[in-house]
Amino acid sequence: MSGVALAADRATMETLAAYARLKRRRRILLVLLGCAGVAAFLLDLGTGPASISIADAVSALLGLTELSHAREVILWQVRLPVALIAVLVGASLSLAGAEMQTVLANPLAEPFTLGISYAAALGASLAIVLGIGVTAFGGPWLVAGNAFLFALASLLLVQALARFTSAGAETLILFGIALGFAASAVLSLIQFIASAEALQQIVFWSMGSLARADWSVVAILACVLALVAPFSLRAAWSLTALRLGDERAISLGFDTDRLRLLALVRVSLLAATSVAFVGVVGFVGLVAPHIARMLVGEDHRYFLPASLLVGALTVSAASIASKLVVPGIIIPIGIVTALVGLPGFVWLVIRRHRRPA
Amino acid sequence: MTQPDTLTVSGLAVRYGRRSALDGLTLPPIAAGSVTALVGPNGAGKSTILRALAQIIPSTGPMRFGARDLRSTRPRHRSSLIGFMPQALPQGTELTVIESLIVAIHGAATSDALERQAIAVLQRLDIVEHALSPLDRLSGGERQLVSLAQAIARQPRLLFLDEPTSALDLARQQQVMQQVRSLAAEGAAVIVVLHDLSLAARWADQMIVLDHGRLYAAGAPQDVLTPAMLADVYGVHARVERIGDRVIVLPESAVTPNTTL
Repeated sequence: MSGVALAADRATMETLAAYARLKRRRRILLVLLGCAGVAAFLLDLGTGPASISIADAVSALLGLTELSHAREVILWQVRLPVALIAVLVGASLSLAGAEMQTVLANPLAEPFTLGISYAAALGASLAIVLGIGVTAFGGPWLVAGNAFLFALASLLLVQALARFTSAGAETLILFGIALGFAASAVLSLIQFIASAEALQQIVFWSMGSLARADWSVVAILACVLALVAPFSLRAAWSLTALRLGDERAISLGFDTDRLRLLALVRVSLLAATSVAFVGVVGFVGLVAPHIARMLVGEDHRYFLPASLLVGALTVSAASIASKLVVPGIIIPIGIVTALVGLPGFVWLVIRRHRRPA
Repeated sequence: MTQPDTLTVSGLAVRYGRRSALDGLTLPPIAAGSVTALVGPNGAGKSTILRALAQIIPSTGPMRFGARDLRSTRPRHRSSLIGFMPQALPQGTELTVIESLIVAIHGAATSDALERQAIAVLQRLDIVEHALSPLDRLSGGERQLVSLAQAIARQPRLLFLDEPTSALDLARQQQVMQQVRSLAAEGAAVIVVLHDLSLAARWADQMIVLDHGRLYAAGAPQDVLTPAMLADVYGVHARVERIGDRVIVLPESAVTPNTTL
């Protein structure tokens, strides 16, 4: 073999080894994120006004110790569903945000970019104020069902508009913003005519809060995530190809229109479910995917699971913080994520601005 | 030996909404093993033709390669037959160079071979040392080479390159054109959009001159490159010098200065 061929061979082996190291590092990071998520979940279980420690909580859950009846009820009916919902909402919103940023080719996109939060709030307030609903259920289900349908309908409407005008991702975002303004205006109108009591309900609904957690909500969120996530992960290759630009992706044989549509349907389902039951938990869907991207890069085989895990970890941490900031009071989690997420958002904008062209 | 496969395109039409960008353009046959330079002023329709040929944008008109009808080829097959290098490079991505190639090859090779094949392409273009760099950290020229690597990663038989040398220094330009020649020597039919006419004359077998979406001239570079053509199509007074078998274009001034800015 000639010297040149030998050198080339050595370079190949070295590059293969370096890439293998990179992949291993990413897998280790995923495992660490998973562990951190579990730790945050347990810490979340062991935090709250009632004195149930992590050790108590874990051993009671495993059936090893008996707690007093009151603490048993608190653990099973409050702490556990809240902690699970924190994980599920975080995972859902972050996965949705990751897909959204990829298909819209916009690093500042998140599930609520397309006006979905206002649409959901509008749906909820119609149910609260006028009792108008599109579901057969009453009470809180009417509100959640309405919020879900309005959120989903708004996303589908935006997509239909964009497809009808065969416009690009940027136009889609602008349509979403316009729709959000429209929903917000109608929402103000409803608030204007609402009674003081209903107004208070609307305001509390709009603040993202885990306090509405119960087991049926856990089940619904878990089902939606379990239904959607496998499809997201299966689309990992195509989504990675989309990062090479539309023309490149099409020339590689990917149907980018179909890919976008299916991704946005997944995003809609995840975001609409979570906003319907928990309200607006902002910035998670924006910031968590960026953290995931910094950790494992943009190969979606790693990026999507990492986003999911970072999201779960983030909202779990926010849930813990929401109980600790003011002792004895649980601050709505949407306020916590917004306060922590806003600096993150500003940092992203500045970082983007500084990046050389 | 059998006759090499030939790309034949006739009556190619492209519409952007109501505006017609190409209206029934027929190209001279483009044989496998040859390099064709597509030249013409800005807005002449060069990129549109390449996009239409690569089926990135909808178009009409028969398009065949050998016995194969390119229009009825499934996207997955087409992607192994046609390599396309767009003018625009992806922005703001953390994907590494090797990952971008692996995703480009994915589906065309078994998973074991994916990484080796990706590295082989990088070695061919002499950018293997950037394998693990994110695309965003590369210089413009390096990114252009990565884009070329993505286009040739599946060893396509038809290669459409949109200004592959626009961001490259002199040495890299020659290196890329040498690669283009060797790809042709391996049996690919290559169409390359170039603005540098001397570079086109140096490396292409055939030159197609476009003007306002129409075929102005086609043929061997020394026949096509004339002062009359340059004045007519580009609106410049230029000298065309021959040194040995090389043709060099020396632009002097615009035909009608200060009127069409």
